[in-house]
Amino acid sequence: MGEHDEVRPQPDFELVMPATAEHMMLARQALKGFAERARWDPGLLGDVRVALSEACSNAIVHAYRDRPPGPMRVALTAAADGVMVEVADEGAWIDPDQGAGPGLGLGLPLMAALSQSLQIDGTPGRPTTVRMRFTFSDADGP
Amino acid sequence: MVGIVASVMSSAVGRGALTRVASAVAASSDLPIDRVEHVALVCETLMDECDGAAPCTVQFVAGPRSVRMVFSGLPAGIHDTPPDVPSIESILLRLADEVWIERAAGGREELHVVVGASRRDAPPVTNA
Repeated sequence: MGEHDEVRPQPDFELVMPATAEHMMLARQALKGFAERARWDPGLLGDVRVALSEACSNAIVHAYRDRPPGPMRVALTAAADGVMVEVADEGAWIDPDQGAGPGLGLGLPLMAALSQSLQIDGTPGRPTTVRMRFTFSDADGP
Repeated sequence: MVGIVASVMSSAVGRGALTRVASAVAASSDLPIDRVEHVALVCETLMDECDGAAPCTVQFVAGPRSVRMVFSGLPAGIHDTPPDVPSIESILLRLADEVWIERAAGGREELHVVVGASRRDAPPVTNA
């Protein structure tokens, strides 16, 4: 097993939808409902929402370029000390060396800054999975 | 065409996420607000029955002024409650336009629920 092949718990919530801008709203709504039940601090919800939106935007913009949108999967897993957010596509990202895609390139730095850990599984031409872990501070708690 | 499929474990946070998604899908189908709430209530009611042994899954098929939901992974026999207990089925029949069960591949039970815009005799939602 590789270092990223750890056994992961079943997500509390998983949503598969078309990777289009109008469906990103569903991911944001799901996160809001998740956070409401877990009684997150609004500051934490804001951070996770921005990072989730960036990850979804990347899937929408980069995964299915020059072809019809395919699926985008969002998974939310509660942990005792926070939450794991996963965004996966079944598309094929283009090698950045072969030409930059649209966007300013700020998404990944933003996700890295907002989360406690950011892991990206994927290589150019293959599907990509983004995993972000967010940890409660004392004020965020459930 | 990629559909919208949500899977939920029997956790409160998972059900909270699903309820929001159900409302958003219903609202995007131009359902009146009371029917949007009924879509969310149907999801919430059924997911409360999810026993956690496996994820319960709901597929949304949004049509013009209606939403069809296909539930799978629910415990078998949730419709068979005693006559003196308000059954899941009776709740669904009061909220939905159509309810039916299909056997999917492998004998898996799928519960189909359609909530449309036209039904006006459903009771107001007071305890969603």
